[in-house]
Amino acid sequence: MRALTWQGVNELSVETVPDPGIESPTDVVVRVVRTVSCGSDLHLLGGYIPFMRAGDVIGHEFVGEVVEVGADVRRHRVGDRVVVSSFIACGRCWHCRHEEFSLCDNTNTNPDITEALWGFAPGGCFGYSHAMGGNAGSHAEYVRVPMADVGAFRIPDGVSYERALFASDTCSTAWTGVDLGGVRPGDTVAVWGAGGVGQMAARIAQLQGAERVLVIDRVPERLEQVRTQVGAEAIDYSTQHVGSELLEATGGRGPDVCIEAVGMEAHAPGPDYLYDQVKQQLRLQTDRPTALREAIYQCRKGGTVFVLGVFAALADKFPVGAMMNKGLTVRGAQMHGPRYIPRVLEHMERGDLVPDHLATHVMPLEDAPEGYRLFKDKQDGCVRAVFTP
Amino acid sequence: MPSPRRSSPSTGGRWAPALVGLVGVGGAAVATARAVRSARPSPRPDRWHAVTVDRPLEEVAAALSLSGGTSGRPSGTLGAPLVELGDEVRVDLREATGDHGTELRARAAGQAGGGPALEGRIRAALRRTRSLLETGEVAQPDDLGTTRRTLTSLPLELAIRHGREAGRL
Repeated sequence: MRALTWQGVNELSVETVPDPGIESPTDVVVRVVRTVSCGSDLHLLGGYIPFMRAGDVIGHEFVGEVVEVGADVRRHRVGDRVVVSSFIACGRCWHCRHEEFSLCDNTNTNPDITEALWGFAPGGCFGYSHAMGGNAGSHAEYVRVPMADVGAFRIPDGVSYERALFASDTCSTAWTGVDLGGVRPGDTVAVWGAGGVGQMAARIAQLQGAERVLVIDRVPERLEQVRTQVGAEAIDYSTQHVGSELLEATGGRGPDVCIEAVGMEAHAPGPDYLYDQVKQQLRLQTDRPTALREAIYQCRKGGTVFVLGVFAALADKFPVGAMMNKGLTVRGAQMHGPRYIPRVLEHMERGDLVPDHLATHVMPLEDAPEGYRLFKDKQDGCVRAVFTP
Repeated sequence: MPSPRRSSPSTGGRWAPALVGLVGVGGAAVATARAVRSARPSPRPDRWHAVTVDRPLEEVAAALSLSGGTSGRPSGTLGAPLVELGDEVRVDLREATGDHGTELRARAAGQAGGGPALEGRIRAALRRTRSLLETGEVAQPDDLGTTRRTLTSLPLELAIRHGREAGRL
């Protein structure tokens, strides 16, 4: 089959690789119909998550058709249209029983790496480095889905592949942040980052009853999507003062919930960005937490900051004083796919969660390196590049 | 067969590739974390290694068929990874706090411990046993045979080779 492979820092290529097959009775094999780039892939591409080997297949957000089923699979049959959670979960450990599916005890095959980095290992993920289990990614014609009864979900007849694609990771990640961030009716929610996850976090916050939602970014096309597709307010940090805009919008209180959907390669105007960039490039810190710092600073007293953006390890100048003295709750998580995908699909079917506009570029898998170039450089209005193997 | 297409996105730090090579980043972050820990007192050589299994103690004891009930040598099929360690290890069970199930513990049989190699095998056996007890299988990474060795990937290859043996367990 053909697959998009990581070959080195900033180097991708489409190669011919062996087809996957059933390795365990709980596996299914999916023929990938659509698979999409994610901002977190850029951290792999740029070498910021240094646990890739040349030749690894990347990609973790996908939909497709079941073409092969293991003997112990009960919920799926050949021919099913499925959307698959980007994180792989066993469904039977303590964390899965408590719906913390991305923290699964049994699906990361290299727990030593993340135990050394973070103290304990989260679960495995498709196409996201050997630190996250070494599973082949979805930017390919076929992908093996381990423990498929837990992580794969049949797509309702009324939902297209094009729409269901974003239930795989984007919308379920966003729902993780809104739910665990504790968004309640009447809240004012600020979201840093107007990429796919940020936009969907804004939309889902609205669905959860947030009265006012503001999204902060600098890319004009994305801010326009925030206004026209999501119906939230947009703040352009390159031309507007974020702090004063948020104070004005909240009567001087600050947002109740701040969702950081940017991650370790944040941009910002001003010297703090330069400081972070230099330290990151010299490998004196792994992450640029510019947006996270701002979220913590701007959050109201007693509010909640939720970290949805991907961070690797260590960041400098963390505002621990603001966190402590303002009585903040700071949480973070990777996506708990099986907990949220069913309700995401319900809302997609109902038509009140519509992420279709994120697919600004749809192209054959053979063009995926070019798709990633457009995505990374934010050229041609690219918000997400979707590949059709 | 279509020829491979390659791309080199232009943004994202021109220094990065060179530094990645210099630092040998594959294991640098892990090595840093280990270095920090190595400056602190070492764990006792006879310490217990443990995993918590999300199953009741009676169920785990029955599945492992421990010679002494809740301690001793396992013989059950689901305890195969520990059975393979034979007389080199001691195994015992105890109830975990709250609703966490059962603590499955193992340590080298000798007073002085078994050294890093045996400790690694104990860690791997405990992880595999927990997975077997909870799910009936042990997850495996995909090996499409497409990866190739590079200079900077050597530390990572080493980490992967000992993926379940190393770590903090």
